[in-house]
Amino acid sequence: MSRTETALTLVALVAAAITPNVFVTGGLHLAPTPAVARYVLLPAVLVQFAVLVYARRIGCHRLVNRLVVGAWVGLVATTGLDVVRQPGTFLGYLPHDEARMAGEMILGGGHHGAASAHGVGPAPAGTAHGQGEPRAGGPSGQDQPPPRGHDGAVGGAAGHGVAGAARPEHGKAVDGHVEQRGGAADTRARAGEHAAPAGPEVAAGAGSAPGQQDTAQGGHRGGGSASVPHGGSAHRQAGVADVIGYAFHYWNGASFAVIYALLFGRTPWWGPLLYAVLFIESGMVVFMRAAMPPLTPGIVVVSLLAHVVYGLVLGVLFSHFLREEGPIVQRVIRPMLQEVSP
Amino acid sequence: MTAPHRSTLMTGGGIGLRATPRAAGSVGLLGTILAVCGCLGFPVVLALLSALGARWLLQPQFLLPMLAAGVALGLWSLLDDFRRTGDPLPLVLALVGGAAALVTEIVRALTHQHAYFLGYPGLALFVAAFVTTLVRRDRPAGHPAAR
Repeated sequence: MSRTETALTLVALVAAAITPNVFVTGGLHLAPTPAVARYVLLPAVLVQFAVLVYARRIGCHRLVNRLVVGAWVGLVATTGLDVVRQPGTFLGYLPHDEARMAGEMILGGGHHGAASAHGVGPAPAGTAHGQGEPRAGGPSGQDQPPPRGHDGAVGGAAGHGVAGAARPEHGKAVDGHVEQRGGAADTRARAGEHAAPAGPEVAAGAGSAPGQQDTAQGGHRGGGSASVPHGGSAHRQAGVADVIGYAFHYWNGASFAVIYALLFGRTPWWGPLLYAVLFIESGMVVFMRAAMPPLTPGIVVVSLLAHVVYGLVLGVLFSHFLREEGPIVQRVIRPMLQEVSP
Repeated sequence: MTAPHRSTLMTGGGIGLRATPRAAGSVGLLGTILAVCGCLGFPVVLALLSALGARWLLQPQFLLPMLAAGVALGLWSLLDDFRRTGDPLPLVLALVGGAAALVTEIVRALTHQHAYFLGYPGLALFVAAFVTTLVRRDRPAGHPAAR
Protein backbone atom coordinates (compact mmCIF):
# COMPACT_ATOMS: atom_id res chain seq x y z
CA MET A 1 0.00 0.00 0.00
CA SER A 2 1.53 3.27 -1.11
CA ARG A 3 1.80 6.30 1.10
CA THR A 4 -0.74 8.12 -1.06
CA GLU A 5 -3.25 5.32 -0.72
CA THR A 6 -2.76 5.25 3.04
CA ALA A 7 -3.32 9.00 3.25
CA LEU A 8 -6.41 8.84 1.06
CA THR A 9 -7.75 5.94 3.11
CA LEU A 10 -7.34 7.95 6.30
CA VAL A 11 -9.07 10.98 4.80
CA ALA A 12 -11.96 8.82 3.57
CA LEU A 13 -12.18 7.15 6.98
CA VAL A 14 -12.45 10.45 8.80
CA ALA A 15 -15.01 11.74 6.30
CA ALA A 16 -17.10 8.57 6.64
CA ALA A 17 -16.92 8.68 10.43
CA ILE A 18 -18.45 12.15 10.50
CA THR A 19 -21.89 10.98 9.37
CA PRO A 20 -22.80 8.83 12.39
CA ASN A 21 -21.30 11.40 14.72
CA VAL A 22 -23.66 14.10 13.44
CA PHE A 23 -26.50 12.14 15.00
CA VAL A 24 -24.55 11.59 18.21
CA THR A 25 -23.58 15.23 18.66
CA GLY A 26 -27.13 16.31 17.91
CA GLY A 27 -28.74 13.77 20.21
CA LEU A 28 -26.44 14.67 23.08
CA HIS A 29 -26.81 18.41 22.42
CA LEU A 30 -23.12 18.86 21.93
CA ALA A 31 -23.65 20.99 18.84
CA PRO A 32 -26.58 22.33 16.86
CA THR A 33 -27.37 19.72 14.22
CA PRO A 34 -28.42 22.06 11.39
CA ALA A 35 -25.09 23.85 11.55
CA VAL A 36 -23.13 20.61 11.88
CA ALA A 37 -25.00 19.15 8.93
CA ARG A 38 -24.37 22.19 6.78
CA TYR A 39 -20.78 22.97 7.67
CA VAL A 40 -19.37 19.55 8.55
CA LEU A 41 -21.50 16.76 7.09
CA LEU A 42 -21.96 18.15 3.60
CA PRO A 43 -18.24 18.95 3.18
CA ALA A 44 -17.42 15.48 4.49
CA VAL A 45 -19.67 13.91 1.87
CA LEU A 46 -18.00 16.00 -0.80
CA VAL A 47 -14.58 14.96 0.49
CA GLN A 48 -15.58 11.31 0.20
CA PHE A 49 -16.59 11.79 -3.41
CA ALA A 50 -13.42 13.75 -4.08
CA VAL A 51 -11.29 10.95 -2.62
CA LEU A 52 -13.14 8.45 -4.77
CA VAL A 53 -12.59 10.45 -7.93
CA TYR A 54 -8.92 11.11 -7.14
CA ALA A 55 -8.27 7.50 -6.21
CA ARG A 56 -9.78 6.35 -9.46
CA ARG A 57 -7.69 8.88 -11.34
CA ILE A 58 -4.38 7.80 -9.84
CA GLY A 59 -5.23 4.12 -10.09
CA CYS A 60 -5.82 3.14 -6.43
CA HIS A 61 -8.11 0.32 -7.47
CA ARG A 62 -8.22 -1.24 -4.04
CA LEU A 63 -9.39 1.98 -2.40
CA VAL A 64 -11.92 2.60 -5.15
CA ASN A 65 -13.23 -0.94 -4.72
CA ARG A 66 -13.65 -0.42 -0.98
CA LEU A 67 -15.38 2.94 -1.30
CA VAL A 68 -17.78 1.85 -4.04
CA VAL A 69 -18.59 -1.59 -2.67
CA GLY A 70 -18.82 -0.21 0.86
CA ALA A 71 -21.33 2.41 -0.24
CA TRP A 72 -23.72 0.25 -2.26
CA VAL A 73 -23.54 -2.72 0.05
CA GLY A 74 -24.23 -0.34 2.92
CA LEU A 75 -27.34 0.93 1.17
CA VAL A 76 -28.61 -2.60 0.58
CA ALA A 77 -27.84 -3.59 4.16
CA THR A 78 -29.65 -0.52 5.47
CA THR A 79 -32.78 -1.66 3.65
CA GLY A 80 -32.30 -5.01 5.39
CA LEU A 81 -31.99 -3.20 8.71
CA ASP A 82 -35.21 -1.34 7.99
CA VAL A 83 -37.04 -4.61 7.37
CA VAL A 84 -36.79 -5.08 11.13
CA ARG A 85 -36.61 -1.48 12.33
CA GLN A 86 -39.65 -0.04 10.57
CA PRO A 87 -42.15 -2.67 11.75
CA GLY A 88 -40.66 -2.15 15.20
CA THR A 89 -41.49 1.53 14.91
CA PHE A 90 -44.94 1.01 13.43
CA LEU A 91 -45.88 -1.60 16.00
CA GLY A 92 -44.67 0.53 18.87
CA TYR A 93 -41.56 -1.29 20.03
CA LEU A 94 -39.38 1.65 19.11
CA PRO A 95 -40.55 5.00 20.42
CA HIS A 96 -38.98 7.01 17.62
CA ASP A 97 -38.51 6.72 13.92
CA GLU A 98 -34.84 7.56 14.02
CA ALA A 99 -34.70 8.45 10.35
CA ARG A 100 -37.44 11.01 10.70
CA MET A 101 -35.90 12.24 13.91
CA ALA A 102 -32.64 12.80 12.07
CA GLY A 103 -34.50 14.78 9.42
CA GLU A 104 -36.12 16.94 12.06
CA MET A 105 -32.80 17.48 13.76
CA ILE A 106 -31.11 18.46 10.51
CA LEU A 107 -33.90 20.85 9.59
CA GLY A 108 -33.88 22.40 13.01
CA GLY A 109 -36.58 23.01 15.58
CA GLY A 110 -38.97 24.89 13.35
CA HIS A 111 -39.67 21.77 11.40
CA HIS A 112 -40.19 19.39 14.23
CA GLY A 113 -43.88 19.78 14.56
CA ALA A 114 -44.71 19.47 10.96
CA ALA A 115 -42.39 16.61 10.42
CA SER A 116 -43.61 14.56 13.28
CA ALA A 117 -47.20 15.13 12.45
CA HIS A 118 -46.70 13.36 9.21
CA GLY A 119 -44.77 10.62 10.60
CA VAL A 120 -44.47 7.07 11.48
CA GLY A 121 -44.48 6.42 15.11
CA PRO A 122 -44.40 8.85 17.86
CA ALA A 123 -42.27 11.82 17.40
CA PRO A 124 -39.49 12.67 19.69
CA ALA A 125 -40.46 14.54 22.69
CA GLY A 126 -39.36 18.05 22.86
CA THR A 127 -36.40 19.75 24.19
CA ALA A 128 -36.15 22.71 26.38
CA HIS A 129 -32.95 24.03 25.11
CA GLY A 130 -34.03 25.64 21.95
CA GLN A 131 -31.66 23.84 19.64
CA GLY A 132 -34.34 21.76 18.22
CA GLU A 133 -32.80 18.49 19.20
CA PRO A 134 -35.24 15.83 20.21
CA ARG A 135 -34.78 14.63 23.70
CA ALA A 136 -37.25 12.98 25.91
CA GLY A 137 -38.35 14.81 28.93
CA GLY A 138 -36.71 18.16 28.86
CA PRO A 139 -35.27 19.64 31.96
CA SER A 140 -38.33 21.69 32.58
CA GLY A 141 -40.43 18.65 33.00
CA GLN A 142 -43.05 20.22 30.81
CA ASP A 143 -41.53 19.04 27.67
CA GLN A 144 -43.52 15.97 27.62
CA PRO A 145 -44.59 13.72 24.88
CA PRO A 146 -46.89 14.31 22.06
CA PRO A 147 -50.58 14.65 22.51
CA ARG A 148 -52.61 11.85 21.13
CA GLY A 149 -55.76 12.20 19.15
CA HIS A 150 -58.73 9.99 19.75
CA ASP A 151 -58.00 8.06 16.66
CA GLY A 152 -54.72 6.98 18.09
CA ALA A 153 -52.58 9.10 15.90
CA VAL A 154 -49.67 10.48 17.75
CA GLY A 155 -48.51 13.67 16.36
CA GLY A 156 -45.51 15.07 17.90
CA ALA A 157 -42.84 17.55 17.81
CA ALA A 158 -39.88 18.62 19.63
CA GLY A 159 -40.59 21.92 21.13
CA HIS A 160 -38.79 24.78 19.60
CA GLY A 161 -36.98 25.87 22.63
CA VAL A 162 -39.92 26.27 24.88
CA ALA A 163 -42.44 23.99 26.33
CA GLY A 164 -45.73 24.72 24.79
CA ALA A 165 -44.74 24.73 21.20
CA ALA A 166 -47.55 23.67 19.02
CA ARG A 167 -47.63 20.40 17.24
CA PRO A 168 -49.91 19.44 14.49
CA GLU A 169 -51.26 16.03 13.89
CA HIS A 170 -53.47 14.66 11.31
CA GLY A 171 -55.19 11.69 9.89
CA LYS A 172 -55.19 11.17 6.20
CA ALA A 173 -58.02 9.42 4.49
CA VAL A 174 -56.74 6.59 2.42
CA ASP A 175 -58.84 3.85 0.93
CA GLY A 176 -61.79 4.71 3.03
CA HIS A 177 -60.12 4.84 6.35
CA VAL A 178 -57.99 7.27 8.17
CA GLU A 179 -54.38 6.53 7.70
CA GLN A 180 -53.13 7.04 11.17
CA ARG A 181 -49.61 7.98 10.58
CA GLY A 182 -47.68 8.33 13.71
CA GLY A 183 -49.91 5.90 15.49
CA ALA A 184 -47.43 3.58 17.05
CA ALA A 185 -47.73 2.98 20.70
CA ASP A 186 -45.32 4.84 22.84
CA THR A 187 -45.35 4.12 26.47
CA ARG A 188 -43.10 7.03 27.12
CA ALA A 189 -45.22 9.31 25.04
CA ARG A 190 -48.39 8.30 26.77
CA ALA A 191 -47.16 9.09 30.21
CA GLY A 192 -48.15 12.54 31.17
CA GLU A 193 -49.47 13.48 27.78
CA HIS A 194 -51.95 16.22 27.55
CA ALA A 195 -53.36 18.46 24.95
CA ALA A 196 -54.18 21.94 25.98
CA PRO A 197 -57.75 22.92 25.36
CA ALA A 198 -56.94 26.00 23.42
CA GLY A 199 -57.48 27.12 19.89
CA PRO A 200 -59.40 25.76 16.99
CA GLU A 201 -56.48 23.67 15.89
CA VAL A 202 -56.51 21.80 19.15
CA ALA A 203 -60.15 21.06 18.92
CA ALA A 204 -59.69 19.58 15.53
CA GLY A 205 -56.60 17.65 16.50
CA ALA A 206 -57.77 16.08 19.69
CA GLY A 207 -61.24 15.17 18.76
CA SER A 208 -60.94 13.72 15.37
CA ALA A 209 -62.55 10.45 14.58
CA PRO A 210 -61.41 8.12 11.86
CA GLY A 211 -62.60 9.14 8.48
CA GLN A 212 -63.57 12.62 9.46
CA GLN A 213 -60.47 14.57 8.74
CA ASP A 214 -58.09 14.86 5.95
CA THR A 215 -55.67 17.57 6.81
CA ALA A 216 -53.40 18.53 9.57
CA GLN A 217 -54.81 19.71 12.77
CA GLY A 218 -52.97 21.13 15.61
CA GLY A 219 -52.51 20.19 19.17
CA HIS A 220 -51.03 22.42 21.83
CA ARG A 221 -48.91 21.50 24.71
CA GLY A 222 -48.92 23.56 27.78
CA GLY A 223 -50.86 26.39 26.27
CA GLY A 224 -48.02 27.54 24.10
CA SER A 225 -48.56 30.08 21.43
CA ALA A 226 -46.30 28.91 18.67
CA SER A 227 -47.76 28.89 15.23
CA VAL A 228 -49.11 25.73 13.75
CA PRO A 229 -48.30 24.86 10.19
CA HIS A 230 -51.57 24.44 8.39
CA GLY A 231 -52.63 21.66 6.07
CA GLY A 232 -50.44 21.54 3.04
CA SER A 233 -47.60 23.39 4.71
CA ALA A 234 -47.38 20.79 7.45
CA HIS A 235 -47.49 18.02 4.89
CA ARG A 236 -44.76 19.61 2.84
CA GLN A 237 -42.50 20.19 5.82
CA ALA A 238 -43.14 16.67 7.00
CA GLY A 239 -42.29 15.32 3.59
CA VAL A 240 -39.07 17.31 3.49
CA ALA A 241 -38.07 16.06 6.92
CA ASP A 242 -38.85 12.50 5.86
CA VAL A 243 -36.83 12.71 2.68
CA ILE A 244 -33.85 14.37 4.35
CA GLY A 245 -34.05 12.05 7.33
CA TYR A 246 -34.14 8.90 5.24
CA ALA A 247 -31.41 10.17 2.95
CA PHE A 248 -29.29 10.70 6.06
CA HIS A 249 -30.32 7.30 7.43
CA TYR A 250 -29.23 5.52 4.26
CA TRP A 251 -26.03 7.53 3.98
CA ASN A 252 -25.31 6.70 7.60
CA GLY A 253 -25.69 2.99 6.87
CA ALA A 254 -23.45 3.35 3.86
CA SER A 255 -20.87 5.22 5.94
CA PHE A 256 -20.68 2.46 8.54
CA ALA A 257 -20.16 -0.03 5.74
CA VAL A 258 -17.48 2.13 4.11
CA ILE A 259 -15.68 2.40 7.46
CA TYR A 260 -15.61 -1.38 7.78
CA ALA A 261 -14.48 -1.82 4.19
CA LEU A 262 -11.68 0.70 4.61
CA LEU A 263 -10.48 -0.73 7.90
CA PHE A 264 -10.71 -4.44 7.26
CA GLY A 265 -11.34 -4.99 3.57
CA ARG A 266 -12.33 -8.51 2.69
CA THR A 267 -13.08 -10.71 5.68
CA PRO A 268 -15.17 -13.79 6.39
CA TRP A 269 -18.93 -13.19 6.53
CA TRP A 270 -19.00 -13.11 10.30
CA GLY A 271 -16.62 -10.16 10.48
CA PRO A 272 -19.23 -7.53 9.53
CA LEU A 273 -21.76 -9.34 11.71
CA LEU A 274 -19.52 -8.89 14.75
CA TYR A 275 -18.88 -5.30 13.70
CA ALA A 276 -22.61 -4.57 13.45
CA VAL A 277 -23.48 -6.20 16.74
CA LEU A 278 -20.48 -5.42 18.93
CA PHE A 279 -19.62 -1.97 17.61
CA ILE A 280 -22.66 -0.35 16.00
CA GLU A 281 -25.38 -1.90 18.14
CA SER A 282 -23.59 -1.52 21.45
CA GLY A 283 -22.65 2.04 20.58
CA MET A 284 -26.22 2.77 19.68
CA VAL A 285 -27.53 1.32 22.92
CA VAL A 286 -25.11 3.46 24.91
CA PHE A 287 -26.11 6.51 22.86
CA MET A 288 -29.83 5.88 23.21
CA ARG A 289 -29.48 5.36 26.92
CA ALA A 290 -27.76 8.70 27.24
CA ALA A 291 -29.83 10.68 24.78
CA MET A 292 -33.29 9.15 24.77
CA PRO A 293 -34.06 7.30 27.95
CA PRO A 294 -35.71 5.06 29.01
CA LEU A 295 -34.18 2.12 27.24
CA THR A 296 -36.77 -0.65 27.12
CA PRO A 297 -36.15 -4.33 26.31
CA GLY A 298 -38.24 -3.89 23.17
CA ILE A 299 -35.90 -1.23 21.89
CA VAL A 300 -32.85 -3.35 22.55
CA VAL A 301 -34.28 -6.50 20.95
CA VAL A 302 -35.58 -4.77 17.82
CA SER A 303 -32.40 -2.77 17.44
CA LEU A 304 -30.25 -5.88 17.94
CA LEU A 305 -32.21 -7.89 15.37
CA ALA A 306 -32.04 -5.02 12.92
CA HIS A 307 -28.28 -4.82 13.25
CA VAL A 308 -27.91 -8.59 12.95
CA VAL A 309 -29.66 -8.39 9.58
CA TYR A 310 -27.49 -5.41 8.62
CA GLY A 311 -24.33 -7.31 9.58
CA LEU A 312 -25.39 -10.47 7.75
CA VAL A 313 -26.10 -8.62 4.52
CA LEU A 314 -22.80 -6.77 4.83
CA GLY A 315 -20.99 -10.02 5.55
CA VAL A 316 -22.37 -11.96 2.62
CA LEU A 317 -21.82 -9.19 0.09
CA PHE A 318 -18.47 -7.95 1.42
CA SER A 319 -17.00 -11.44 1.45
CA HIS A 320 -17.88 -11.69 -2.22
CA PHE A 321 -17.24 -8.22 -3.61
CA LEU A 322 -14.34 -6.74 -1.65
CA ARG A 323 -11.12 -7.76 -3.30
CA GLU A 324 -8.41 -7.61 -0.69
CA GLU A 325 -7.86 -7.47 3.02
CA GLY A 326 -7.67 -4.05 4.58
CA PRO A 327 -4.62 -2.25 5.90
CA ILE A 328 -5.51 -2.87 9.52
CA VAL A 329 -5.56 -6.62 8.92
CA GLN A 330 -2.44 -6.52 6.80
CA ARG A 331 -0.34 -4.19 8.88
CA VAL A 332 -1.52 -4.62 12.44
CA ILE A 333 -3.56 -7.71 13.14
CA ARG A 334 -1.68 -10.27 11.07
CA PRO A 335 1.79 -9.31 12.36
CA MET A 336 0.42 -9.41 15.88
CA LEU A 337 -1.01 -12.85 15.33
CA GLN A 338 2.28 -14.00 13.79
CA GLU A 339 4.19 -12.72 16.78
CA VAL A 340 1.88 -14.45 19.22
CA SER A 341 1.82 -17.77 17.41
CA PRO A 342 4.84 -20.02 18.05
CA MET B 1 -26.06 -25.74 -26.43
CA THR B 2 -27.60 -27.18 -23.32
CA ALA B 3 -31.26 -27.83 -22.80
CA PRO B 4 -33.07 -25.26 -20.69
CA HIS B 5 -33.19 -26.10 -17.03
CA ARG B 6 -36.64 -27.30 -16.09
CA SER B 7 -38.33 -28.23 -12.88
CA THR B 8 -41.59 -30.02 -12.34
CA LEU B 9 -44.04 -27.97 -10.36
CA MET B 10 -46.84 -30.49 -10.33
CA THR B 11 -47.58 -33.76 -12.07
CA GLY B 12 -50.71 -35.85 -12.29
CA GLY B 13 -52.05 -38.62 -14.50
CA GLY B 14 -49.07 -38.46 -16.75
CA ILE B 15 -49.65 -34.82 -17.57
CA GLY B 16 -47.00 -32.60 -16.09
CA LEU B 17 -47.22 -28.87 -15.56
CA ARG B 18 -43.71 -27.69 -16.11
CA ALA B 19 -42.24 -24.28 -15.71
CA THR B 20 -38.80 -22.90 -16.19
CA PRO B 21 -37.38 -20.92 -13.31
CA ARG B 22 -36.87 -18.06 -15.75
CA ALA B 23 -40.57 -17.94 -16.59
CA ALA B 24 -41.42 -18.25 -12.91
CA GLY B 25 -39.07 -15.38 -12.21
CA SER B 26 -40.79 -13.18 -14.76
CA VAL B 27 -44.20 -13.98 -13.33
CA GLY B 28 -42.91 -13.43 -9.80
CA LEU B 29 -41.32 -10.12 -10.69
CA LEU B 30 -44.46 -8.85 -12.40
CA GLY B 31 -46.69 -10.02 -9.57
CA THR B 32 -44.45 -8.44 -6.97
CA ILE B 33 -44.30 -5.13 -8.79
CA LEU B 34 -48.08 -4.99 -9.14
CA ALA B 35 -48.66 -6.06 -5.55
CA VAL B 36 -46.23 -3.55 -4.08
CA CYS B 37 -47.57 -0.76 -6.29
CA GLY B 38 -51.07 -1.64 -5.12
CA CYS B 39 -49.93 -1.80 -1.53
CA LEU B 40 -48.29 1.63 -1.75
CA GLY B 41 -51.28 3.09 -3.55
CA PHE B 42 -49.83 3.85 -6.97
CA PRO B 43 -52.53 5.86 -8.77
CA VAL B 44 -52.08 3.95 -12.04
CA VAL B 45 -52.60 0.59 -10.38
CA LEU B 46 -55.52 1.87 -8.33
CA ALA B 47 -57.17 3.33 -11.43
CA LEU B 48 -56.57 0.18 -13.43
CA LEU B 49 -58.01 -2.09 -10.79
CA SER B 50 -60.96 0.23 -10.27
CA ALA B 51 -61.68 0.25 -13.99
CA LEU B 52 -61.59 -3.53 -14.03
CA GLY B 53 -63.82 -3.69 -10.98
CA ALA B 54 -61.12 -5.51 -9.09
CA ARG B 55 -60.23 -3.03 -6.41
CA TRP B 56 -61.05 -5.65 -3.82
CA LEU B 57 -57.73 -7.23 -4.77
CA LEU B 58 -56.04 -4.48 -2.78
CA GLN B 59 -57.40 -5.84 0.47
CA PRO B 60 -54.62 -7.38 2.54
CA GLN B 61 -56.20 -10.84 2.57
CA PHE B 62 -55.76 -10.99 -1.21
CA LEU B 63 -52.73 -8.79 -1.68
CA LEU B 64 -50.53 -10.45 0.93
CA PRO B 65 -50.75 -13.99 -0.51
CA MET B 66 -50.31 -12.58 -4.00
CA LEU B 67 -47.22 -10.71 -2.93
CA ALA B 68 -45.87 -13.71 -1.05
CA ALA B 69 -46.37 -15.90 -4.12
CA GLY B 70 -44.67 -13.34 -6.36
CA VAL B 71 -41.70 -13.02 -4.05
CA ALA B 72 -41.45 -16.80 -3.67
CA LEU B 73 -41.50 -17.36 -7.43
CA GLY B 74 -38.88 -14.67 -7.91
CA LEU B 75 -36.65 -16.14 -5.21
CA TRP B 76 -37.03 -19.62 -6.64
CA SER B 77 -35.89 -18.37 -10.01
CA LEU B 78 -32.92 -16.52 -8.53
CA LEU B 79 -32.00 -19.48 -6.34
CA ASP B 80 -31.78 -21.55 -9.48
CA ASP B 81 -29.55 -18.89 -11.01
CA PHE B 82 -27.37 -18.85 -7.92
CA ARG B 83 -26.90 -22.62 -8.06
CA ARG B 84 -25.70 -22.37 -11.62
CA THR B 85 -23.56 -19.24 -11.41
CA GLY B 86 -22.51 -19.06 -7.75
CA ASP B 87 -23.17 -15.32 -7.83
CA PRO B 88 -25.01 -14.40 -4.61
CA LEU B 89 -25.78 -10.77 -5.50
CA PRO B 90 -29.19 -11.17 -7.20
CA LEU B 91 -30.36 -13.60 -4.55
CA VAL B 92 -29.32 -11.34 -1.66
CA LEU B 93 -30.87 -8.30 -3.33
CA ALA B 94 -34.11 -10.18 -3.91
CA LEU B 95 -34.14 -11.58 -0.38
CA VAL B 96 -33.76 -8.14 1.16
CA GLY B 97 -36.12 -6.50 -1.32
CA GLY B 98 -38.74 -9.24 -1.07
CA ALA B 99 -38.62 -9.16 2.72
CA ALA B 100 -39.01 -5.37 2.64
CA ALA B 101 -42.00 -5.65 0.28
CA LEU B 102 -43.67 -8.29 2.42
CA VAL B 103 -43.08 -6.35 5.62
CA THR B 104 -44.52 -3.23 4.00
CA GLU B 105 -47.74 -5.09 3.24
CA ILE B 106 -47.84 -6.73 6.67
CA VAL B 107 -47.44 -3.32 8.29
CA ARG B 108 -50.30 -2.00 6.17
CA ALA B 109 -52.48 -4.95 7.12
CA LEU B 110 -51.76 -4.55 10.82
CA THR B 111 -51.68 -0.80 11.24
CA HIS B 112 -53.27 0.74 8.11
CA GLN B 113 -50.11 2.75 7.64
CA HIS B 114 -47.96 2.88 4.56
CA ALA B 115 -44.28 2.21 5.08
CA TYR B 116 -43.25 4.10 1.96
CA PHE B 117 -39.61 4.31 2.90
CA LEU B 118 -39.45 0.54 3.18
CA GLY B 119 -41.68 -0.32 0.24
CA TYR B 120 -39.90 1.77 -2.36
CA PRO B 121 -36.35 0.61 -1.58
CA GLY B 122 -37.62 -2.96 -1.27
CA LEU B 123 -39.25 -2.87 -4.68
CA ALA B 124 -36.16 -1.22 -6.15
CA LEU B 125 -33.92 -3.96 -4.78
CA PHE B 126 -36.23 -6.71 -6.01
CA VAL B 127 -36.24 -5.25 -9.50
CA ALA B 128 -32.49 -4.64 -9.30
CA ALA B 129 -31.97 -8.32 -8.53
CA PHE B 130 -33.49 -9.31 -11.86
CA VAL B 131 -31.76 -6.54 -13.75
CA THR B 132 -28.46 -7.72 -12.26
CA THR B 133 -29.22 -11.25 -13.37
CA LEU B 134 -29.86 -10.10 -16.91
CA VAL B 135 -26.74 -7.96 -17.01
CA ARG B 136 -24.43 -10.59 -15.57
CA ARG B 137 -25.99 -13.63 -17.23
CA ASP B 138 -23.87 -13.58 -20.35
CA ARG B 139 -20.60 -12.82 -18.65
CA PRO B 140 -18.13 -15.67 -18.58
CA ALA B 141 -17.12 -17.04 -15.20
CA GLY B 142 -14.20 -15.12 -13.75
CA HIS B 143 -15.01 -11.96 -15.65
CA PRO B 144 -13.49 -9.10 -13.66
CA ALA B 145 -16.66 -7.05 -13.89
CA ALA B 146 -18.60 -9.90 -12.37
CA ARG B 147 -16.90 -9.30 -9.06
